[in-house]
Amino acid sequence: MSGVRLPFHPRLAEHALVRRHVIDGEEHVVLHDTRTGDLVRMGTREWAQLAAADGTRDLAGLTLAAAKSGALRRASELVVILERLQTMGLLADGIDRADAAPTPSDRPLFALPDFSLTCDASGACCGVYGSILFTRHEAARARVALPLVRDGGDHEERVFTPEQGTDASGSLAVALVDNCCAYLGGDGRCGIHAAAGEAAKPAACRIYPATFVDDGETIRVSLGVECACALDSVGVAGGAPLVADTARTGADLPAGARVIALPALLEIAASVTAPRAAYVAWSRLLAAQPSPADPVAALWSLAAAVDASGLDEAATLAALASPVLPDVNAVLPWIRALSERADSRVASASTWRSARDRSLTASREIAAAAASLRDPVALATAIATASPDPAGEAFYLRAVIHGHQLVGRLPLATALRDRAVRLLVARAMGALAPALRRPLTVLEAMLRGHGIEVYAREVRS
Amino acid sequence: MIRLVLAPSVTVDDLDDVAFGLGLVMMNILPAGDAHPAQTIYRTPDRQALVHVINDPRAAALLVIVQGPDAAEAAARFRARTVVAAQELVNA
Ligand code: SF4
Repeated sequence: MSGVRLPFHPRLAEHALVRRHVIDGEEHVVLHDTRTGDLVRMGTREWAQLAAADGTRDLAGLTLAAAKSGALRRASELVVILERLQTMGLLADGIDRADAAPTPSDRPLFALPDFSLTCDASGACCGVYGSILFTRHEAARARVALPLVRDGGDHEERVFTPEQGTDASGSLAVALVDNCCAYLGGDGRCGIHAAAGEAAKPAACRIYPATFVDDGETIRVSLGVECACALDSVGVAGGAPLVADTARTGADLPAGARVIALPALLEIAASVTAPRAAYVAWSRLLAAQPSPADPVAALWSLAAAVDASGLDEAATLAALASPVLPDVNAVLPWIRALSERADSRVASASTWRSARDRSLTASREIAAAAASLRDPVALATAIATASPDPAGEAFYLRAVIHGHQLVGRLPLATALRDRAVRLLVARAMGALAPALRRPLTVLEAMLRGHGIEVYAREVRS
Repeated sequence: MIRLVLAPSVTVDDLDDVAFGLGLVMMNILPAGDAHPAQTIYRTPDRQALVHVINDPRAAALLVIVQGPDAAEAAARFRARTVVAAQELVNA
């Protein structure tokens, strides 16, 4: 007996994401903790034992289900797996899950103005993320269109795992082959698109990189600045709009579009909250201002204003009117935290990811850039140096603010500083590897898609 | 019905290995109750015998009860893979 108390009806918690990876031809299951960025690797047989832990079975029921699936060899193995996950905070008890209130379908859309996306169709974005989601219907369609991909025609579980925990009733995450979607063709094109037409692709891929946030007044349509095409499209007309020009309300959004609702109260600084409407007004105020000459200084000054005066309009405008570059000693703990998080990501990813895996090389690029800024002199120089891509950074800020991407995970003031730090690190990535295309988008995709963004909660002054 | 008293050194993990090796199919797990101690019930792949593994913490060793048309043969296969301290025929 280990003394670990297991939940009565164990299931994987929502923050535990299980992904099936094929690495250099060998199959693995990786469980990601989205709160901490930690991961647990397990064999496919261990996962098959755990897959029945859906919150409806006690340990005996789970043991029986695992035996029935043919995955159980010793009952104690299952207990060891469960105890390990429980110790890491990755188990929950029972099936209780709070469903968010649905967004009213007549909520008007408010799309990021003056932007359309020209996709280069290189398939680069199909190989960066840790999760690529399909609805059950889309998964079935893909398995029919390409039944031989990982033998998925006959064995769904070989190509898909539940998006969250063990809840097989929701969306499914596709298996990743050296971190590329299992359906990505060797020519960089989507295999599903090639076999069954664009409409057969999962909605998430067709919608990408658009984001939808319901702020109680409108649904903000913006984008994650996570693919090089997004920045390449800035100022270029003739691309695809983020939503159809005819779309007016939430009801017009494409099927499968996920609308995230902002909570009624938002944390804006440590232990300080503000009503959602006040935050929306603040974001409109910011969006109406001209692009700041130095985004790093603007973000840092805005954070100080939020800390001191909340969402006060005069304080916000004053911060934007005379932004002050951050002090090296104030930024250094942030760089250190990001550097440590990126280093640990490289260390853990190197033990199991393929050398061909783009997310591994991207982690290394981020770690190297952050490390280069740990030297106070280098950091001071970076802070004082003008942006190498003012238009790209200005667009990034516009997309982040319009898409309400500053709220939700972190207090607003913290999120503003986080974004300033991201800009500094992205600039350093570009300086270290001049051939790297749009480093800011690489950084953004890795921070969100691979959990490195948790560094912002690990900053110690 | 055949009752096998296993050697005290035989653990639950050992028995799981035996069951796996024999291809036994787990049918049920009964927690300890007023009327019976905790037990795991298996059947043989050909459905000709049921195997109850009884884990009673008050007893010094694990017990295995084998019943069904092929009980004798199933018990013999069990014996071949683990250390049995005693075997007895019950109600036969
Ligand atoms: S389904 Fe197609 S578009 Fe979507 S990630 Fe896979 S290969 Fe790319």
